[in-house]
Amino acid sequence: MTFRPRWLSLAFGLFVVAVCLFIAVPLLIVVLSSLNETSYSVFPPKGLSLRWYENLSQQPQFLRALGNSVIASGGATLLALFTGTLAAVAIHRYPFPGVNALRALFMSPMVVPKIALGVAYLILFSKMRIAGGLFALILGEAVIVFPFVLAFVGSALAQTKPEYEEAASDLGAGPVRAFLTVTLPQLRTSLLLSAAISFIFTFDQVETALLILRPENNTLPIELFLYMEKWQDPTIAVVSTIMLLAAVAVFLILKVVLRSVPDVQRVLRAGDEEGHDATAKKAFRRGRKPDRRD
Amino acid sequence: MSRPTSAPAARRRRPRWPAFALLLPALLLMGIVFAGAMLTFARYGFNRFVDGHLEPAFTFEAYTAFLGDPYYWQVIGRTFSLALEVTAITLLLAYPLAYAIATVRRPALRQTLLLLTFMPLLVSAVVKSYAWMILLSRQGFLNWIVIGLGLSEDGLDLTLGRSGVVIALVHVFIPFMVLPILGVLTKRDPSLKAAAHDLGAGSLRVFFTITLPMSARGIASGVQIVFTLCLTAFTIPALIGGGRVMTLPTFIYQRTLDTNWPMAAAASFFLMASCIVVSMVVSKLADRFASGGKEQAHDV
Repeated sequence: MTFRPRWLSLAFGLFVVAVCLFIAVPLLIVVLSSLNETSYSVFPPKGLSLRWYENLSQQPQFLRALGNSVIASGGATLLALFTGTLAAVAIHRYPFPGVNALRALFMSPMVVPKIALGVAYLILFSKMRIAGGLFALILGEAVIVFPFVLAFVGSALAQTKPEYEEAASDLGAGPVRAFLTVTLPQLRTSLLLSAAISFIFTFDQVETALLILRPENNTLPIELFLYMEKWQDPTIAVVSTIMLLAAVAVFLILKVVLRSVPDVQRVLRAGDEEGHDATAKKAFRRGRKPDRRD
Repeated sequence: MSRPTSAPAARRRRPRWPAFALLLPALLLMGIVFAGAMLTFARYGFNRFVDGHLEPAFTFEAYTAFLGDPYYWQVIGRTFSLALEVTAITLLLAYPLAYAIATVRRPALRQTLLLLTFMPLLVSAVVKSYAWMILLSRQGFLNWIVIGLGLSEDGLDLTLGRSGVVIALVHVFIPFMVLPILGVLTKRDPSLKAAAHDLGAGSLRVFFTITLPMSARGIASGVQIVFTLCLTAFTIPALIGGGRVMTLPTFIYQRTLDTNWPMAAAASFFLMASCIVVSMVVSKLADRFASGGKEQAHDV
């Protein structure tokens, strides 16, 4: 990061520091304002207290919303993993005519605006008489993350050798057993990554959940969204702070888990000599994308 | 099932039914929920909305009303200008950050920068909206600085307005821009840069003749992602705009609440088509720019 002339390095460094502050300061302010004593947000805080944390215990709707979020995201992730992995195996191991058209259909939720998908779900689920429930949300969110699973597992499958499976079946294993004992362990990393991404992505779905859920089934972002439209007391800051801490925890857990999987280590080193980070892997994957078009 | 001895022979002799069985769950999910929802929604776009209720029909009234009314074109124009502004600012902030991550030598510093850039991806957009609402409010952090510096007597009110929406969107989208740019910057050949330096080119010249054109594809991916995310952004315009910054997504949401589903459908399919067209145009531009960049790089 050194430039000629010297002042350029300094200016560049200062600019990057400013961008970093722009990213971090708003999140830190949320934490600070959750400790605020007053019932409105003010900077600098008038005094520090934990009264808004105590106040949260009188608002059980947030805990219920958290439970709903975990059920919805967990269900959608499992459903997308199940359907996506099987579909990826079909596409990569049993080529059939029209496979590209089918893949295009499977990837197309990515180009549909979430708000449009939300309205479409509202209409369809009302007709199916399942609108309002968490099951409808699970179906809808599974569709949204399905393309991620298909892409991740598909690219991992393309790297595994079908010969191993064939060796297994030569040794007498049926196709199901060969898949479970030989192929599936090789897909471990991509399954883990797509599960993590699916869960995080569905956890923060506002557009679809806002339109299709009944109030008692609201997920956490929706509960916050609706609360924020009416009130702005530091209760929101408290919930936000807890969500921020959870995000940090998830980040650290992902880092440790991904580091312990040898595959990821290898991919990381290929992408970036010094990076040992989960994000470097994502950057590496994303960076490869334009190459395929070359 | 047959026991194949060689891979190509195996593929020829494999039956078709396992493929179908494996695809069945995905076909059910994507066929019923995704295709079903989109087709039903598209069909509702041709219904008629009179006096607050829907009438089954087959008419283009919603589309002609949407495309024929200057008010809706204002909404469309506002959505696009917002997306353009946010994408430009995001690129301006994200490129140096990606460059710093790609070139910084100390691993600890790089780790910190990566954490700072990508950790916010795990934070809900609702939480980030709230962060900006309190930061930009009349008694917030920004006004504390503005008043402290003596720039203004009683501070500015930036919430519930366009500038607040722009600032918050840039904040949310920075990682999506850094990611693809970082991808191309870490791949690029450092010897080319060293060669240009050896031939006497200054840092700025090396940057503009080599680094920037070579990262064109990363920039294009980032612009594609951020521009389309911005066209379809809902949470931040809805919360920070407080209903006053009407973009296509907030417009669709309000028409949906009014049960004017034909109008919501017309706006939704227009929005979807816009995203596809924008992605295609950006790809084409990047192709041209990237190939131009390669020639230039050889000239240096």
